[in-house]
Amino acid sequence: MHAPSSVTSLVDVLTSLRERVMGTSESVLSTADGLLVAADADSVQPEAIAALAAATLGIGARMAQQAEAGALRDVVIRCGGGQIVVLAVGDRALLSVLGDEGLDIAALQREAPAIVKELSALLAGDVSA
Amino acid sequence: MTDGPRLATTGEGTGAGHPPETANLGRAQIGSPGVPGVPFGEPDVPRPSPDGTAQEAPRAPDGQEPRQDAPARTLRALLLGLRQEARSGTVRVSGTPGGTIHLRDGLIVAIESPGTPSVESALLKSGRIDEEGWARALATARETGAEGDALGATLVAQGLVGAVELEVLCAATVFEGAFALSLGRTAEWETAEPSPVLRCGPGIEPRAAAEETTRRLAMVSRLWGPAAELARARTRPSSQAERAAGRLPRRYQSLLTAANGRRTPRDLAFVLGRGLFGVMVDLIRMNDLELLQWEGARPAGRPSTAPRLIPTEQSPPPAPSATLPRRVPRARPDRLGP
Repeated sequence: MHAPSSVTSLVDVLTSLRERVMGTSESVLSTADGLLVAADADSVQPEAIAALAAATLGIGARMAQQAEAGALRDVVIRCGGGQIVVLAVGDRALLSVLGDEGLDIAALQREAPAIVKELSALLAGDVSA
Repeated sequence: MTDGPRLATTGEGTGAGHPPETANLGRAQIGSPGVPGVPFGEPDVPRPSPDGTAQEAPRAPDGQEPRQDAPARTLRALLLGLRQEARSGTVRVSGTPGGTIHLRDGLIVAIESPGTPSVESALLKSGRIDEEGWARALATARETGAEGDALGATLVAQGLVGAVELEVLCAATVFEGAFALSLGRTAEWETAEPSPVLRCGPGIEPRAAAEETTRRLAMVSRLWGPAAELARARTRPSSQAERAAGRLPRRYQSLLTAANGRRTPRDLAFVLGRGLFGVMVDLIRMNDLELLQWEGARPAGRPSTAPRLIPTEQSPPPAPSATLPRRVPRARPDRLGP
């Protein structure tokens, strides 16, 4: 069930987010049902973010469905002092990106496919026990 | 040294004495729109064309596709040209970081960029205006129509910030924005209609912004090295910093508190609601005072996929049995004693 060998490289990918997307401060990778997989966290509680990511994306998907707005891409939460972006990594994982109010959303959307691909590749080895 | 966020004189208002290079605007052309890699603050020196011949701004050769607006070669030339025409509008710059330059009558009234805090961020993060007051002012400004452009006046009218204070902050943020844009790779830009933005005062002459940016880049590279490198560096307090804690100015203290080894100067600027250049200059000084230690190698863009090296015979596997000191069976105990 656990795949400890890949955790370091997952963290590497998350850490690289701070280099690749200006304004990123922390990021958390979780399973689709909200369990913590890996985190590049500083002040947040990674477990709490992981759980909320699942809830956030779930609500977002239902809103998208209700509004008939097509497939959900990501959920962006904009606040006075920061922004949070939650996006799906394949079917089984979620990525939450936490940033300040200057977070370069355009750069994040540009980088997202590559980031998702890297994370998916690292997670691909996870198989049902 | 005179290196605080220097405020330029605003509202020169002279239409005369336009620089020679703006005369070329509208004819200058390189291949396609989107001239790569021309920082904001760099003097608009003519660059060789791809075939290495034309040094002066080349005229669009006959037979090119018709274009009413040949692109300016640099952002600087573009802004100087728009100033000459006293145009109001928005220049959206894409790049890392990109940004939005707001023009009124050709003067830069605001620059928004992920690279440095906006006026809004500076006011809110510093605690100068609280969220509640901000929301109230936004609502009032919305009723009066031109939301963004009226916002500044509303903030002043409601007594949340002084008129001069706001104008100073707006001017300083324009210079910070120009500096931040100059640190990135400017990929391309597009001009658009004016969009509402928080502003105050007449705005900054593009020429003044460009000159100040050049000065700032030169200063950082003189005191530190490449500015773009400093922009990416992450720092934390050194052991010296703790000993000096009580004797440092508040600005340094707040930087030391926020520096956690994960934040770049840009991140620190956002945390504190300060301008990027001001933070950089403080960090350089604090580095000279040995208050900082810098994080080592930056994390790679992605994990390397290079084949992992397997230890070969050239690098012998550790052989502890051979190197560990062994107990000598017949060591004479009397030699160890006093």
